[in-house]
Amino acid sequence: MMERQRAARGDVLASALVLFAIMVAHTILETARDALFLSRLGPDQLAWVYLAMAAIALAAFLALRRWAGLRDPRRYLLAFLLAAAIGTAGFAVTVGGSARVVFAFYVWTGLVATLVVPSFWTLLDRSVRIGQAKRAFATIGAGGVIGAMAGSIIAGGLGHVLGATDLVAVGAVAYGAAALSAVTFAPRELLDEARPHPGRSGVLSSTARRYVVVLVVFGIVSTVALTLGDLLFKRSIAQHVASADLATTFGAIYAGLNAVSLAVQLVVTRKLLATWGVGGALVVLPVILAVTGFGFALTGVLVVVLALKLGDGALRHSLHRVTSELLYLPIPAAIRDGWKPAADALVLRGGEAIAAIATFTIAEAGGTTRTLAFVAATAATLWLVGTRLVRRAYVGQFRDTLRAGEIERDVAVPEFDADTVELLVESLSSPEEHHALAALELLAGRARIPALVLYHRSPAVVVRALAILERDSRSDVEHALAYLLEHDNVEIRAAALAATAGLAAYRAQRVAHLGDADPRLRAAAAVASIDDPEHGDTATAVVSHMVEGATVDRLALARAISHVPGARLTGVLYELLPWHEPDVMREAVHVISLAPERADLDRLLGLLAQPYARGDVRRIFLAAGRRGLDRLIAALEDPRTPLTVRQHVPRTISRFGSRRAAAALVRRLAHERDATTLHKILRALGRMRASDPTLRIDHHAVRAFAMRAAREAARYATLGDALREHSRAETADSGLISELLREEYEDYMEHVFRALGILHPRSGLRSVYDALLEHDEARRGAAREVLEASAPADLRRTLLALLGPRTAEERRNRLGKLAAGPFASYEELVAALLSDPSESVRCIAAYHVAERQLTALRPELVRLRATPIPVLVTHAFDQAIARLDVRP
Amino acid sequence: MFDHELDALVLRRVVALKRFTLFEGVDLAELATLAQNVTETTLAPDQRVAADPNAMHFIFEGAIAVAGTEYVAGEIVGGLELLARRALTGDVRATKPTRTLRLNAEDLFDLLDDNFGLLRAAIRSVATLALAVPRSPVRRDSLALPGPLGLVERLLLLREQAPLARARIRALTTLARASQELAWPGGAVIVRPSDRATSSYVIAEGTVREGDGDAAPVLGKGDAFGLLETLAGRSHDAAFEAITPVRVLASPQDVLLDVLEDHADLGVAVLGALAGDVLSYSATRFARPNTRALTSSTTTR
Repeated sequence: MMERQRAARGDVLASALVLFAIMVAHTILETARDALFLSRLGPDQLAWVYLAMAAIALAAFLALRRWAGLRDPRRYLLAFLLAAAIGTAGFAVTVGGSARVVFAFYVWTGLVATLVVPSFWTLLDRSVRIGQAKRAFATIGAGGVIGAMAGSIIAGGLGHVLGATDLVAVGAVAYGAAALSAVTFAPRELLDEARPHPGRSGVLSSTARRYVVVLVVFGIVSTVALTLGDLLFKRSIAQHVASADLATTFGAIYAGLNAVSLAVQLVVTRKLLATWGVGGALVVLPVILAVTGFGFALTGVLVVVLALKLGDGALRHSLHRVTSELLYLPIPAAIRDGWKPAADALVLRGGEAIAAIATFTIAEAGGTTRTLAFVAATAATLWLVGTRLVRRAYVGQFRDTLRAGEIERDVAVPEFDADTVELLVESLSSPEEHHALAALELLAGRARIPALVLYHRSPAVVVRALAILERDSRSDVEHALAYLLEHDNVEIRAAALAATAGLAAYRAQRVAHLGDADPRLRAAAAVASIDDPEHGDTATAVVSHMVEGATVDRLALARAISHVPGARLTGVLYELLPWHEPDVMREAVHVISLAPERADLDRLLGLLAQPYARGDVRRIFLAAGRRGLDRLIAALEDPRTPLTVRQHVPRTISRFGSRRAAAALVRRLAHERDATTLHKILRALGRMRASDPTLRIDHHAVRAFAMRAAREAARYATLGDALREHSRAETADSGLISELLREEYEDYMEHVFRALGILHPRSGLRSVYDALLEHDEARRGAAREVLEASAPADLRRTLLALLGPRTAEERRNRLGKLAAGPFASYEELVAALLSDPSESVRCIAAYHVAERQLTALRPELVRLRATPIPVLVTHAFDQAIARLDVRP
Repeated sequence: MFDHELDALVLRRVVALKRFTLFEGVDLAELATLAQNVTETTLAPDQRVAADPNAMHFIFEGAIAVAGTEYVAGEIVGGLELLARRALTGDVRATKPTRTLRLNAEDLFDLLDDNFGLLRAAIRSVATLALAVPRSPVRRDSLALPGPLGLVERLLLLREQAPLARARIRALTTLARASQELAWPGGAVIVRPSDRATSSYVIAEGTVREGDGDAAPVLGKGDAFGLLETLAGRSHDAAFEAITPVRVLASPQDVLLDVLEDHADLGVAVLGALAGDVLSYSATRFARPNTRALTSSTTTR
């Protein structure tokens, strides 16, 4: 790990060196350019030059859009640097000529800056992950600031002995040196990024393009504000300093500003990004510009303009640059490589052009520098407002990246269209039994099923079709009964016989089968004759006899009743339940679910424990409405409700989707002791809020739960660390403890994320949690960004302390009081595990004490044994004590 | 693509998937989720399939041959390999114009994690296939299981079972806690042939005979029976009779299903282990590395 860290540091320094060289060259050229321009053309021409640069940048933008992204970004950087060196050398020879050449030279320097610096950052964006970028960009940016300082010092020093024209030649040499440094030190390895799901890369690309547009607009507004501020500053200086002294004055000012910028870059940027995140860091510079701009507009005091420039100079190339670059990292490389250099050109030159037009307009309207300050401050205010939008889009882009790499969850069943219905109706006549059954299942309740299916050659298809069709009391079904009653298959005959209930034409057949040897036919005849005025008593006797008979009798009875649902036979269904026969129970509950309004909820509640009946029981409770919800809430809050039942209550409650249902679940969060029920409450609430994000819940209670879960996660994480530190040699049982502690930590983390998902159902925190568990660095980085933006501050600190550190010591330090221990000895650690809230941890710790013969812990076992503890733990402690006593 | 076009696409895929017996009883919403996450592939005759070995194919038209064995519409190619985390290798190609729904390995596990109906269907299907794999008693006499089984002893016992060996402790703890310790005297019949399997049993003490006759296998401490039948929802093929007094840890079917629903990772681990067994057995039996994959009709062939 140390080696990897050293290598990473080396890469960062190498990149910083390249930027250093670029900025040395750029600053020397900038100093020469400003001096030449202001002395030969004057500040009034600045606006024109910005317009010219915008026009050139537009051409560069179109060219870059066409060609960038198609090749390795490293090659672009090298090509631009080489072109900069050669082009500048050309101007070194000619710039002493006419004022037009000076004008052209200014435009050239702008073009070089437009191409070279963004290309460098585009290359970097492909070489680092977001987490690394937040740490490394400040250092790399510092290389740039130091380069700018060195360039200023060199330009300032040479300004005393050389003319501004000669400085251009020095700049050309410096660009040559920068090209050499890039050849040697610019990153060569381009990282893989999070891979989108094959079906969703298109969606991701379109959202990324929209995001780029947002960034361009945002960038243009920021450039307008900064450019207007810069113009304000330059005008003020030009009014107070002689033309001959401008070069040295600017050199000195830029050097001073760069020193402040370096301090900010090295001391502030990284910490600010770590504490406030990208979103927080974005607001600093616009706030300074807005405050100082409005300040000067109101007072006209020169020192306020100097303060403005101080803020601009200190932050533009440090914090602002770094955060602006970070904003591009969520974009897929294929789009970023193609768009970023062009977007940078558009932002820089487009913003400058707008600022120039604004300056002209102000001058035309007879505005003063205070008017200019007002406009600059207004632009800064717009910029400030835009940071909120950009921050949301930035996090949203990471969220989209995460979601694009995952499956689509919880897809709703689409409405059946006419083509599908036609296809399924055709499938009903398929000779393949399974095809016909599948079609029946799909069509049931969605479309009219033709009675012809009752003539299908597969008995399974006919029985299923009859069960579905007879509910509709259709004449075409009644016509088919005569045929079905003569069918070879006894299942079909029985189903048809039961379906004849109430039809006088079939009375004789029903009566004939009341004494049939086959329980299926007997049951069908009995339930179909139960209301018969003449044979009803016999039928009732047959039913009673079958209830007390064998499993096949009860099953036949339940199936027969499914064809004749009605209040008269509901009682029989409840009599079938206590036998606890899965098939019978499933059938009986299913029939009860067909008439839920008559359901006995108290008797059905216990059946939530039965997986084969649960679905129907849930439907019954839901159909019972408020009565059903009341019963479920009471069951959840009643400590006497068996765990096997209670664990299935939360999901059942969630089906109601109401505010009252959500409130009952949230209320239980604070008190629930059973881990499985708790987990199910979280899942139920998550599902409810995902289906209806407007559903109101008690946010405070959920946040408090998340914080408690985070504390537990912290405790288990550090217990696991301590176990690894103290453990002498791993045995099967210590391995078991270690694994369990790890799983307890993971489960509590999952609780935290589920709680956050309940609070922010649209934030995609499920994807964040999944990504954090993966080894894909790109997805983990994206997940951390979303987490930083979504979690409340106190929770975020704890989570980042758990997820960030690479060593146990670092984690303990960052968690502070939330960390378990410290433990002076192994025995002290195991003693802590013996009194852990988790019964499983306590049991395994007790087993471990016996296995390792940790006799020093016997008194602790005895002491804890005397306290009120669950039976399972008591048993484990007793066994451990006994084993300690037996062994020598 | 417009929403209504996407809906129509998903609907057609749902209809196609519903025709696989594997998905019998699976909730429509879960099938729709699966339908949304598969990609359609069209193959020309003799075209190779295995561009991505970590994918499975639901054939809904045409046929695919895997090392000489032909899979037709309604069957699945590569399912067992995916579950066992093995690559589908060898000559895999369409034998006629073929259309499939293709699912990636990662997506499969995510889907199983989220959709218990799909997980249950897969477990039922793979457990049915695994029933054909002959098993020899392993007996772990070195296991120390004195007196009534505590939580840790139950954990250790369950972990000895190959399908559960890779399960998370939390999942096994839940299973261990919900399981019951049962005892029978020597000579008692624990399970009769054709009894519906309602529990999985792990022997903690004593010996049990599987089936009749002198050559019938004898199971001892650490051996299990009934798990596959219970997961497959099938009846027992043979009787299990206590030879000596027997203590077992019994996990009823509803407990098993509940634990699998709450701990999908356990279900995936069980699936992986069973799929690996089936593949290994098939490789031995048919003397080639990849044989029949998870298919709807394999169970009935």
